[in-house]
Amino acid sequence: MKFLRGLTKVAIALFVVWHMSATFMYSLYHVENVPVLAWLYEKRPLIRPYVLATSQWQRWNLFSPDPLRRVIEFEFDQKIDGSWVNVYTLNEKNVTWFQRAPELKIMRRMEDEKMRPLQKRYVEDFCRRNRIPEGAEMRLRKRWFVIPRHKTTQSTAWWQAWEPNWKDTELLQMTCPALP
Amino acid sequence: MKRVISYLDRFFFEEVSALGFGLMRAFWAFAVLFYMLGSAGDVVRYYSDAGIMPQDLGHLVFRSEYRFTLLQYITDPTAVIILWSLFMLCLVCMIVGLWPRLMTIISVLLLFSFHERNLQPLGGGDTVLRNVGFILMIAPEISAFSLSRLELQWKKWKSTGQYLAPLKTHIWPYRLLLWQVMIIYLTSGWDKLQGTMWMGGTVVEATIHHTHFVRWSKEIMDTWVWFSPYACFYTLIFEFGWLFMLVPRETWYVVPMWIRRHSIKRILILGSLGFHWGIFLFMDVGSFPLAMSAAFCGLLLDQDFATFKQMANKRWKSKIIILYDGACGLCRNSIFMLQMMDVLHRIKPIDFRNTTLRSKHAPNIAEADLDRAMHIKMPKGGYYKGFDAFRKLSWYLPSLKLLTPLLYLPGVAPVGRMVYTKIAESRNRCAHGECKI
Repeated sequence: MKFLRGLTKVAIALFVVWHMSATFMYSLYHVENVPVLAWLYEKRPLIRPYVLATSQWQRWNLFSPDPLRRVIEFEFDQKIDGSWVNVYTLNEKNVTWFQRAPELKIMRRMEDEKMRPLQKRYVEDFCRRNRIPEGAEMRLRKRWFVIPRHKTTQSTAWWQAWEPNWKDTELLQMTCPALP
Repeated sequence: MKRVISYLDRFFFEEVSALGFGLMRAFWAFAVLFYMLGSAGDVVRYYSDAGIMPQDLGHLVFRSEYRFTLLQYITDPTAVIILWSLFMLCLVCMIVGLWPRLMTIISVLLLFSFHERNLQPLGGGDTVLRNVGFILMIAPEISAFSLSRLELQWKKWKSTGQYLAPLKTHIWPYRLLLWQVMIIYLTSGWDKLQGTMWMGGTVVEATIHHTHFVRWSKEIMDTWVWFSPYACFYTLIFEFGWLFMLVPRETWYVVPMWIRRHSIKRILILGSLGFHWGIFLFMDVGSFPLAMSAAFCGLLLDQDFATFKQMANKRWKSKIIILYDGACGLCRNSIFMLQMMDVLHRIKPIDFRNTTLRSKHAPNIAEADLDRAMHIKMPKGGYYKGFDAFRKLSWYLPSLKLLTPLLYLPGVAPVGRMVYTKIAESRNRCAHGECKI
């Protein structure tokens, strides 16, 4: 009994050390200049199956190395009587308190060109939720501006005078699918 | 060799209070429930094949290996809603502590399933919830502050008149949690040093102009730009401050006493809470502040609870004496409930049927009066009885605090006194200590 208890303790202690090492190694980034950490980074394939299978993946790059400075919003236009009419803007003003973080994150994560199928799916979902009839022509545009970067903090007066420089690009055009 | 083994044994298996992990279980479940309920209207959109992320587009976002989710197989919108509802039910059970072990395992696995189904809406807070959830799932003792524990306590008290011994657990889950928290802050701090804006102190002035996050208008935020360098350096200092937790306790004797008597861990936790909830006031960063607050609950050990109790009871020189009828089952049961709620140990129940104790604590009150209603004696000497005693107690028992304003609403006192008298009179019908009201 004592032997079994001892064995269990050793197993638990080894697991703790393993889990600590795995989570630490999997959260390492930008360690090229620190030899020990760079070596650990190279060994990631060893712990990858464990970390991924247990959903323990993590990367703590919140507002770092430098914060996100690009502000984007999606414009949903519908062709009405031959001309494009803006029917919705996906930004912080048009989502609920709870939707704000997830919905804006989804938008940021699908703004790239390679995410075109997801953008199309998002517009289809927009058509379904807003009961826009099948065949209606839709256009998705991205508007964005970049918050300026400074070496030192600017004054309140400077920021009061600053105006965002919005840019605009078309992402896709499509027609709404049949309503379910 | 023996000393090394003994040190290692203590490092992994020292017995510590299990209250922290019990509190974390309830807090974690509340945080998950709060944010999952918040996206209730989007369950089908986010997690079913009828939504914005059907499985066939998954290759754009998901990894192709070591990814497990029940929602790979449950794709129909109705089935997803049913699974989500079950998840919510498990979380409620987890908060109140109904079958805490089973409910925690199911809830954590379901959280993994929902998160792995759609990575698109996830933020840092969700990652914290997953990391902490895993530790909760494997921790051996998480039943503190649960109905299950209350039931055991009740059975023990009913049969022996004694309470269960305080819940203890091995320290290794605490070590895992502390390590996880340190990874969050230290790797985050390290990543910040790779850029230029944090060291330049300009991150906050840029971030408070990012409309996705900021809660207030540009006009208001413009007036806060002066704060940017202070906030940047505070963030870096407290994030790297968690490195202190790597210093073994045994070596702390080298630092002066005035530093040693404060807990570095508590200072770091308070600093972190200030940081996260400070951000919350200005910016919407999703579930991060709530998730980190839940994690901090698990970092509380015996000394932390003792210090908190000491601080909360700083002005308390003695306890509130409750004079109750030890011959009545209902009264004893009520005292049991009051003691369960008395987390700060501010009350002392006294059976007035015991003549010695009665003459010591209530020499001027006749037994017949005590028999009519519960009396309490305040530390400064005042007496209250019946409904008024209960109302007075509600001021001093934190778990009843929410009730206090309601008890002072116009009309509540006369009704309360009437109901109390009725119950007190009915208890005379008790037989063998069991009361039928």
